[in-house]
Amino acid sequence: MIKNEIEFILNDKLIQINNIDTNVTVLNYLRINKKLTGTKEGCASGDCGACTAVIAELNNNKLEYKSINTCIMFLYSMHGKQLITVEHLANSKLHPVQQSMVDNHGSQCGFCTPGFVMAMFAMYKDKIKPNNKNIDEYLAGNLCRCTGYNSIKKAAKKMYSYGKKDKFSDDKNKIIKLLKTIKQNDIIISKENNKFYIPSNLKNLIKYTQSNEKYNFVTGGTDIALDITKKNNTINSLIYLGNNKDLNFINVKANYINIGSATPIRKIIPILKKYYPSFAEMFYRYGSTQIRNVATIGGNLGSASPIGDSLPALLALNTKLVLQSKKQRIIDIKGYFKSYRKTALKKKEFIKEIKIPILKNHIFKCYKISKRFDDDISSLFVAYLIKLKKNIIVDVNIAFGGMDSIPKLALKTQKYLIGKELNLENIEISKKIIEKEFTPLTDMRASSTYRRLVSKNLMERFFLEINENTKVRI
Amino acid sequence: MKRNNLFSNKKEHESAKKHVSGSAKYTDDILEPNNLIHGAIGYSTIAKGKIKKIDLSKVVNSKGVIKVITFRDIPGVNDVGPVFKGDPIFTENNIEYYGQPIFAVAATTCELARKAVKKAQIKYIQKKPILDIKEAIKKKSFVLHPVKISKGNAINEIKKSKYTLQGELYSGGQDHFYLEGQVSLTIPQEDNNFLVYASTQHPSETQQIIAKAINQKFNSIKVKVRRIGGGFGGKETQSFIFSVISTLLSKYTNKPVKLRIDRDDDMIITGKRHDFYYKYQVGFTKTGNINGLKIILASRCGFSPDLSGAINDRAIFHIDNAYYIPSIDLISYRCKTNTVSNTAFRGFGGPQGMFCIENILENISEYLNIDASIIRKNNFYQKNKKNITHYGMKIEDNVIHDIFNTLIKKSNYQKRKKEIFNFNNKNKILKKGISITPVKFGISFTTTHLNQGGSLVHIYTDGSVHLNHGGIEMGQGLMTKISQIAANEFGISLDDIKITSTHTEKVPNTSASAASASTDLNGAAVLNAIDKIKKNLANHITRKFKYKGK
Ligand SMILES: Cc1cc2nc3c(=O)[nH]c(=O)nc-3n(C[C@H](O)[C@H](O)[C@H](O)COP(=O)(O)OP(=O)(O)OC[C@H]3O[C@@H](n4cnc5c(N)ncnc54)[C@H](O)[C@@H]3O)c2cc1C
Ligand code: FES
Ligand code: FES
Repeated sequence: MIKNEIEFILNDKLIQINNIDTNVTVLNYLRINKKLTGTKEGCASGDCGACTAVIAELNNNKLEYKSINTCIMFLYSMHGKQLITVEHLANSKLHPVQQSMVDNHGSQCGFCTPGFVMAMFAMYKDKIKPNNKNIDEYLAGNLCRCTGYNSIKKAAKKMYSYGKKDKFSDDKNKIIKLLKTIKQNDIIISKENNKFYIPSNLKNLIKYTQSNEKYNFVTGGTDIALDITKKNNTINSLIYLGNNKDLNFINVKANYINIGSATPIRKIIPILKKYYPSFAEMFYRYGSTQIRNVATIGGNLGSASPIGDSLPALLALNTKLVLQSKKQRIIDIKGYFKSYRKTALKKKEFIKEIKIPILKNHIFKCYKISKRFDDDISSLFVAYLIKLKKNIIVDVNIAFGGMDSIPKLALKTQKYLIGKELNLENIEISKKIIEKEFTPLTDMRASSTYRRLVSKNLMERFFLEINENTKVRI
Repeated sequence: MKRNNLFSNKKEHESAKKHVSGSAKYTDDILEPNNLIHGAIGYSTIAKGKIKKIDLSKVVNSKGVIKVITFRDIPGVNDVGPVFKGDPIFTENNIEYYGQPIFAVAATTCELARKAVKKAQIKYIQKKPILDIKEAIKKKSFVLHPVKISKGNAINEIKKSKYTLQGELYSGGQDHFYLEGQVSLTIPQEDNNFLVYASTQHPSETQQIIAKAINQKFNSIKVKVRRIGGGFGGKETQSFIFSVISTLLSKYTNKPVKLRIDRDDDMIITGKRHDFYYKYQVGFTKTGNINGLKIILASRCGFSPDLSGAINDRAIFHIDNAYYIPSIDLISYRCKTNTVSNTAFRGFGGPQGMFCIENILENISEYLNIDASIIRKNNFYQKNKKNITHYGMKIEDNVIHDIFNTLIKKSNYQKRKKEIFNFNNKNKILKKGISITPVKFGISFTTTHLNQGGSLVHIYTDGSVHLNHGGIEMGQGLMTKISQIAANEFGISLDDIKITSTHTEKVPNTSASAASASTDLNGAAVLNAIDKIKKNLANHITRKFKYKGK
């Protein structure tokens, strides 16, 4: 049965919605429709964290809490979730994270504060140890212009001392029960000229994709929502993949890491850590926790931006892509990127699965170069895959992002390196080839000269790191 | 409460509980009037030129649009320039920077207003813009006349010096990112009056500029601010244009209008920190003591003067930082470029001055191979001699020697320096560094009559106190501090003090909240007021109870 409304819990009340425009973001819904103005807009592009709220989802009978950027989240993607806003944290007493922020002077102008409180609340619910590293991980998606962050970090460090149980622990069973009453049917919302489809499984998804109307897929929405919030465009039809259980998985089988295209990056990191630690480490610098909680590799491939961070890494790793329409086909990622943001995806086709081969005898490393350590777009990205036999290079992939209009392999450099000994002399020669092989652009992120220089120097860095054991990181 | 204890106790921010629970209201959070409509601004997409043809018919006919206004709809002064003219609300024809406002729209929703703006069809005659500082100097393109300062004969002193160095430096700009973007809400009142809720550091000037733009008396405009989500100088003057436009739209539609600027547009339309170019020649002794300095300070002011005069002056006043410069030959260029008009920004030119001299000292240190901390110390202002600045002010209460020595000791500077040296010798790739730098910073306005505050204090018959003053709460804790001052002076509990907002109706003709002086100025005004109230109370009590005193 197809339903025509979504259901979710707003704070503690189950509500149904079908009469609001399909392009409306969670933030605008909260602020404009519900007059819940505690959640702020600082940028409307996922960059500042002022709009942070927390969603709770049911997973194996347990509630999973995630911070999100409500400014770039479609309202209709809230289906089946609990949405918690800053107004709901306190009862007669402030929540531990709130009290800690007050006592440690974590707010000055206070505009970033609700966002910080919510990001910290998600950390609290995850029972994360508040050491510097974890605090950075959980709060890097929030900007504060006033405090200089020290007082906020202190508040995070001390939050558990204000109580380890909160009202959400008490209400847990009630919320779980309420969430279970929400049926996972297909949903089609229709409002004026706009539509929002929520297929509940793969079969139905395929069915909707075969329609002749013009539509866009949306998974995490962290890219496509900016079309609305920043370009003021209207998207008439959206097919939402985020709630699709058949696309949300990660497993290891037959020497492949298989990732459903709608699996949030946050869920991928722990498994990737085992096989490609450098890839996993990079993902900690991919957006922020709020972004990683919902953003997907499927979406990164869908956007196919030349500076999409997972793309050069997947390219270097000889990844296979499972593309799905009425029929399924598996392609090598080398044939996926056609030209600037143009891909091998055909009309009515979507990415179902990403298959990363497990190459135990190779060395894999990738480097992201951006102006800011956290939550920034790359100026340049490179991924190396190399196999050595007695220090002779027998297999090599070097994939760049930000050096051309698509993520691209350095084919000439690779060709030169095959069969060569891995030594500084050969690395120096390979640097000269890289220089000739690419003609990078000058844009607001970096100049062509800078990109050229860094692309060469990273070669040396990679060499030093795998060969000489020189310390190249703090 | 015991007097003065109030100041030594750690006190939470007066709004802290509201901040953390989302109940602190900012301009965009105020409960909206029923018939509220929304504004958006259309701006130029070239940096320099003229408008050849403008067709707004598609904007007018766009869904939800109620009113479109251009420069023709400004009955009064088409300028928001605070000190100097030159900041048109809507340009008539000349385009001076990318992002210059040309028209504005009011529509039923914010989304429809922004969508409508995109439909403007504007053709330009493009001219070659001047974008960087050096080009502007070459073409003598200035927003204000260059300023020269000289003391002694620097050229001679440099010539006579054993050592000389020369060089060029550049310090970059910086974008304002007050977390709360620019926003203004105008509500029409009786008699063509307007109530404006603005996110501004300067309600009085907002009031005055709106009044001039719509050709009304100052007393017909009220500006009210409870708190703002950060200012940092970015809302000292740059907020005016938004309040003027929301009021113009309100005037023509007779409806409340909210103008909330998208962050990208905010960054495109409004000014930033001045970037600076410096060229210097310095003569010094073998101990690194400066004998003479010849220096050019040039900044990118953008297309209009705005506050650039005072900002560049402040850079001049900080070029010495904590150091005695016996002779100086300085010229400051305030360059006009076809970019946004750069504006106040934390430090207001001070950091740009200090940056330059600190670099020069580092270069001297490197040249002489003497630790930079020693070079710095050698050049410090002295207590009884060598204590007159290049602008003729005597440095009093000089504590830099004590501070510096204490910090060198406390930070284990020498030991750490050695460790770093060893680390760097051992590591091919990773390198470390250490540095210690002093800061001398001037607070208060250099335009001295602006150094004034104001307050209005009420005591109600139940003993509770209500007060207003001229300063803006923008995160610096001004309201908390003023409450502490008032509670302390009255000898009552903080809970009995209420500060509602900063309101042009309550305290008129205020200065901007800026220059690190709002607590001092307005706090003193509150003290003055309380002093008078206490005297009146004392007189009344003496009379009523026929108290003769002991
Ligand atoms: C603050 C912020 C920080 C960011 N940081 C980074 C970063 O560090 N590195 C980086 O690479 N990117 C970054 N991004 C960009 C973006 O988050 C990523 O590209 C993300 O992986 C997109 O995933 P998504 O699921 O949110 O995509 P969506 O926005 O849902 O979709 C993106 C595009 O792909 C299409 N699409 C989605 N799923 C599929 C599918 N299964 N099959 C076919 N097409 C599909 C959509 O139609 C859309 O065109 C950032 C974005 C923001 C807002
Ligand atoms: S408003 Fe800045 S991240 Fe959402
Ligand atoms: S307290 Fe002002 S931005 Fe964080």
